[in-house]
Amino acid sequence: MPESADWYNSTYLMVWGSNVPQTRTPDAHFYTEVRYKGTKTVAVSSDYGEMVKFGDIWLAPKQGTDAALALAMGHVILSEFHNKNRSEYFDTYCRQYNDHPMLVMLKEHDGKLIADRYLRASDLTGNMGQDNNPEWKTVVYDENTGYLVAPNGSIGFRWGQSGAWNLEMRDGYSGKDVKPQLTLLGNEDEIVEVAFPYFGGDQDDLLARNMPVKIISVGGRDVRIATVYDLTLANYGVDRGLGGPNLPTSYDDNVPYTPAWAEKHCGVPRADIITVAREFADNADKTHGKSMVILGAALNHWYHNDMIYRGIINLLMMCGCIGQSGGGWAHYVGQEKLRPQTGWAPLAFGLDWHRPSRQMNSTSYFYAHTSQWRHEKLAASEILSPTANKDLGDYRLIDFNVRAERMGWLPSAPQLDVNPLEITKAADAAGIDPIKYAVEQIKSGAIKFACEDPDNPKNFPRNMFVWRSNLLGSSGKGHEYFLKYLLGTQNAVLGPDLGELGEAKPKEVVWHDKGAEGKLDLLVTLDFRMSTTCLYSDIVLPSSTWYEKDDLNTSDMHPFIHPLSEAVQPLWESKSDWDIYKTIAKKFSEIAAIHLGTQKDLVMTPLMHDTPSELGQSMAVRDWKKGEVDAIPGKTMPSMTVVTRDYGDTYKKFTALGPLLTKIGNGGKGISWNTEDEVQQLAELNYTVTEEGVAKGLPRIESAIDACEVILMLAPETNGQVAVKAWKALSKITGRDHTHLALPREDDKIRFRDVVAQPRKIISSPTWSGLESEHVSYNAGYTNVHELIPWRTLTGRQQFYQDHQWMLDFGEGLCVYKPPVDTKTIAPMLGKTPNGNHELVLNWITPHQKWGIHSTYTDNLRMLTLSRGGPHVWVSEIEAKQAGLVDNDWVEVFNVNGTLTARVVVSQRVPKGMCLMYHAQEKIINVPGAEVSGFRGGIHNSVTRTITKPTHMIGGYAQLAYGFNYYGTVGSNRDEYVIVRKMKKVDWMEGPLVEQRNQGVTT
Amino acid sequence: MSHFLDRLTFFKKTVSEFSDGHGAVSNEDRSWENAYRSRWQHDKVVRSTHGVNCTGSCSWKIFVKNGLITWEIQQTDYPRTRADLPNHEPRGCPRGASYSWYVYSAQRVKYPLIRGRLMEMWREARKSMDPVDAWKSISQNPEKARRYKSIRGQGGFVRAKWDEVTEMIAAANVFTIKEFGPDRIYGFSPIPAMSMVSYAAGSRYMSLIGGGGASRPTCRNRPTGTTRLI
Repeated sequence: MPESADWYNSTYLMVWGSNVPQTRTPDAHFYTEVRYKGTKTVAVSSDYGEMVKFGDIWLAPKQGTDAALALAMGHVILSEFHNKNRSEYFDTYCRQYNDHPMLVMLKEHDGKLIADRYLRASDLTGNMGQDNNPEWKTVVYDENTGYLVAPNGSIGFRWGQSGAWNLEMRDGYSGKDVKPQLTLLGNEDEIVEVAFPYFGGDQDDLLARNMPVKIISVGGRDVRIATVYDLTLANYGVDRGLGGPNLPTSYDDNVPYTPAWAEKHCGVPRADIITVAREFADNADKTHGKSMVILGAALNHWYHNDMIYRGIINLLMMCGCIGQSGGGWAHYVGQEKLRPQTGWAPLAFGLDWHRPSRQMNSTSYFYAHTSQWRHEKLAASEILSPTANKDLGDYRLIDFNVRAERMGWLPSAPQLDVNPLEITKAADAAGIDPIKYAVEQIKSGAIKFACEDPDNPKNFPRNMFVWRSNLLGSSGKGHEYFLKYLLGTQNAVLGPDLGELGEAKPKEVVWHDKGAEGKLDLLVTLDFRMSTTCLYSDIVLPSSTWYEKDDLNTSDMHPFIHPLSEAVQPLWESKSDWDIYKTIAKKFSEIAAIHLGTQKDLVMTPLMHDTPSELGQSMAVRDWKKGEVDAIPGKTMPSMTVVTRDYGDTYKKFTALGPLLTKIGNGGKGISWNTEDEVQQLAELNYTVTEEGVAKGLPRIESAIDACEVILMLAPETNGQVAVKAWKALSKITGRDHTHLALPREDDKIRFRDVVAQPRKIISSPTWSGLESEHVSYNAGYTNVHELIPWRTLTGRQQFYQDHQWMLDFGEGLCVYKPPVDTKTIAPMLGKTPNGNHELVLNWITPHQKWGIHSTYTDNLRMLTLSRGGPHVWVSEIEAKQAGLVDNDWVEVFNVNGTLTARVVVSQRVPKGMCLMYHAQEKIINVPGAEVSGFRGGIHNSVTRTITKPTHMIGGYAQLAYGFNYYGTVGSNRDEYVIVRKMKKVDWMEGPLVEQRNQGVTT
Repeated sequence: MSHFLDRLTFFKKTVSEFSDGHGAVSNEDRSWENAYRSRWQHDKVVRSTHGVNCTGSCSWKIFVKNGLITWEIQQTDYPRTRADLPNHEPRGCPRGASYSWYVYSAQRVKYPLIRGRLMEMWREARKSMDPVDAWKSISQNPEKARRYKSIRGQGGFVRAKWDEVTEMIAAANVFTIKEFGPDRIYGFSPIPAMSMVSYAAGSRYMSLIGGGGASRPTCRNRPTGTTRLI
C-alpha cells in the first residue's frame, strides 16, 4: 500500500471504512491538503465518522454490505468504460497486468456450465513446449496469430528456470511478442449460458448468463473455454447484447449487480453509486490510474471481508490504478511493514543457528486451544456454493483446518501428538531415517497430528509467553473462551457447546464430552503497564518503556526508519525485552545443560510462499489420509527437517551471530544472496566473542543496539550494497536488470546512531513492490507495473479469478456479494434473564479508538480525562429512546459468548441497528459487575467468538500459500449481534475475593 | 530572605520609586520565579517513538530533567519531500503525547510479579527438589494446578526477585520440552515492525529452543483471494 504522502498525488480519492483523522492522525494532513489542489474526495462510512466531514460526497452503506456497493460500481464501470466505450488505457493495462485474458475451462454441473480452473500448458499438446512446471503455466489467445500461448510471468516460470518470470508480453516458449486477447466475443465458437453462484438470498442461487466461449480439445475431449474478462462481465451482469436470462437492461433493473440491486442491499441511492463510479473511472482513464481508495478496518473485520476487498480491488484493477503513483489500494489495518525484514528474520528466528524455525498462524491456534470450535454454530453448508462437492456440507469449520494442516497448507502448533524429540529417538532406535520413520508412523496412524485432538492433554499448549501484546485485553476474539478453556478460570461463557446442543460434531477431530479447561501450565507476560493480560498471567515481568530502551520502528505510512532510544535507564527493576529474554536464556541454559543436553528435534513446516513448495498440488485437492495421494513431505504434507539443538548452548547462541549466514547466505521472498561481507563488517562493528565455546569468534549481539546493527547491516533497505545484491538476484529470475533502482545508493549504510541523529529514508529493495526515490512516493505494485516484475500469483498477474478448488466450492472464484453470516448468539439469551428493562438487539461494531491505540493509552489518565473515563458504547438516539436510555446510563451488553458493562453514549453519529464500542477498553478501569453473569463485566471481545473461514486455509498454491506475518485464518468480529440493556443495579464488587462465585444464569 | 520574613515586612518592601511614582523598586525575594523559569528547562532531549500498532511511527523528542522523563513533543527534522509535495511533519497525536504519563504512574509494572499461591507452592517444592522436578510437582498435580489456575485474573500478585522468576520460567520450559516437546512452548507477540528488536528477543529465544511463535500480524484480518499488495 502507498505511503500517506502518495495520497497527495491522487486526483480522485475515496476513503472507504477508514477513519483517517482519528486512526491515522499524523497522516491525515495529506488527505486534507490534497483537496486544495482540486482532488475530489468521497467518504464511504456507515456511521458519521470523523473522516466523513472531509468528503465531497458521503456514501453510507449499511454496515457489512460494502461488497454490494463495490459490485454495483463495477457494473457501471464495466458497462460504460469497458463494454460501451472502451477506454484505450484500461484496455492496454488489463491485457498486460490483469488475468483478464487468461483462459478458464468450463465444466458441467447438474446440467449447467460453470467456471472451473484455469487452462494450463499441461492440458495442451506437448505441454506447449514447456518442460518446466507446465501444470503451473496459464494460457491466453494471442490476438495477432489466433494461437494459444503460455505467456511469460506465470508462477511456473518462477521456479526451476530463469529469465522468463516477467510481465513482458511474450510467448514463454518462442519469446515472440504476443497480444493477449481480452474477449472471445466476435470470434467465439458459441454463445452459451454459464451459471454463477449468487448468495444475496433474493434471487436464484445460480444465475445463468449468456457469454462467448471457444471449444478446444483437452486430452481428447471437447472443452469449452472462456477468458476471465468475459466471465467477469457476465458475473457483473453487463449487457453485451447477448440476450439470455438474468440480464438487466438498465441500471434500474433489480438484477445482480446493478445500482438498483445494490440500493436494495446496501441502502445507497443508485444515483450516487452511478455518479461515483463514473467519476472514479473517468478520472482513472484521463490520468492513467490516479484514482485511489483508502480503506481500513471497517471493511476488514467481517467474515466475508474477502468479497468486500475483492469488490474494491476489482475497481482499481479494471481502471488500471494499481501500481500507478497516486492510485491504487491504500489499505491500512495495522503497522505491518517491517521494512528491513530480511535483515531482521535471521535475528528473530535464530536462522543464523538453525533452520527452519517453527511458526504458527495465531487465529487457528487460538481457535483450537481456546476451544471456540466446540461452540461453532456456523455450518459449512451455510456458506458453501450450490456447486460445491456435497461431502463438504457435513464438515465443521475446524475440520477444514485439520485438513489444511495435514496437507501442509497451514502450520501446526503443537505439531504431532508425540514429543518430536522422542520421534527422532525412536527412529534412531529402529535404525531408520527420522523423516522416513515419521512419515510411516503418520501414515499408519500410530502418530497423529496434534490438531486432531486438541482436548487431549498430550496436545495442550503448556507454556506461553506474551510480550508487546495485550492478548486478553485487546486482540483475542472470544475473550471468555480464553478464560474458560485456555486458563481454566472464572469466565462468562454463557452458551452451550455442540455436545450440549446435540449438534453435529466435527468429523476430523476427536470429541470429548467435557472440554478440557486450564490447558496452559504457565502464562508469562512482559509489559510496562498492568494490562488485562498481566492480570491473568502467572508471572508478570516488568519491561522498560519506549523511552527506556533501544529498538527500531518502521511503518507503511512513511519511508523512514525510526529508533526507540534510552532516554533514562530502565526504571525500578524493569529491563528491556532484549535483556529479559537474555536473562531467561541464561538461566534456561544452566538448567537445560543438566536435563536436556543435545537433542534432535523433528520440525515440520508448511508449504511456504516464495519457495518452490508454493507449487504444491496444481489442480485437484488430494488428501493423503484418504488415500487419494501419497504422503510426500513438502508436496502433499508438511516439510520435515531434523534440527539438532544443544540446549546448554542456548545463551551463547542467543548472544552471537551464528555461522549459517556465512555458510548458506541470506535472502527472502524467493531470492537469496551471499552475505559474508556483511557478517565480517558486523564482526568489526560489534566485536567478536572471545569466550570459548560454540560462539567463539562470531560477531557479538550483547546489547539491543548490537541487535539493531545486525538488522541494519543485513537488510537491503538499510545497506545499499545488500540492496544491489538483492536486485541482482531478482534480475536473474526475471531476466531484466533491476539494479538501477539501488545503484545510486550503493554505498549508503544506515546505522543505529544515524537514525538516532535524524530519520533516514530507506533504500528501495525487491522485498517490496514500491520504490523510494526522488521521483515517486512509495506505492505498492509500482515495480510490477514499471519494472515488469510479476505479481506472485498463479498467473503472475492481478487476478479477478481464483481457481483453487476450495475457492470454487465456496463460490468465490469470482467476486460475489455475501451478506454477513448468522452467528446465532441472540435467540438463546433474548428475554431469558429479565431485569425489567427493554432489550435492544444490535449489530456489534468495534472500531479503532479515539482515545487509545488498541488498549494502550485507554488506561492513561490523560486519555481517560478526555473521554468518558471508562468503558462506553454508542447507540443511536432512536433506539436509546425505545429502550429508555439516556446518555451516560450504565448498560450491559451480552449474548451467548459473554457479557460486558459500560456507559452508553447516545449519539446521532450512530445509525439505527448498530451498537458501537471503541475496541480494547481495558477491563481494569471502572468496570462494574454484570447482572447476567454475576461476575465483573468483560471487554469488547467478551461478546465475540472467532469464526474461521476455510478459504483462508488454502496452501501450497502460489499466492495462496502460508507466509510469516501475511497469511492464515482471520478472526472476524463484526457479523456479531448483541443484546443491550439498561442495568438495574451497578455493583462495583469491592468485597473480598469469592473464589467459587456462581454464574448469574445457568448455562 | 525567606518568604515568611517578606510577609512580615510587607508594608516596607518598596525601597524607592521612580518615574514620578509610577515605578517602584523593591528588594523582595524573587527566587520563586525560578520554578517557572525551569519549568521548560531540561538536561537533554532524546529521540524515541512509540512501539504501538498505530502505523504512526512518529519521531518524538523526549525531554529529560534531573534524571526524570518529563514530557515529549513532536520532532520536526524529517528529511524534506520534494517540490510540489507537502512535508511529512509534524507527525504525532494526543495519544503519543500522553505516553510519558505511564512512566511514573501507578499502572507501571515495577517489579517481577507472581501469583502468591504459585510462589508459596514453588518455594515449598524447591526446599526439597531441583527446579525441574519442583515445576513438575506443581503443574502436573491436578489439585495444585487448580489452586493457581482457577484464580487467574483474581489478583493476589506478590513481588518476586528476578532470579527466582527466571528460574521458574526456565524450569517450566525445560520440563515441557522434556515431557511434551518444545513445540508445546509458544510465544505470542504481534506487529514486529513496532519494536523489532523487542519482538526478535522473544522469537529468537523461542526459535533456539524449538518453541512455536506466532505473530498475529496486525489488527488486520488478511482476506485471501486478493492479490497480495505490499
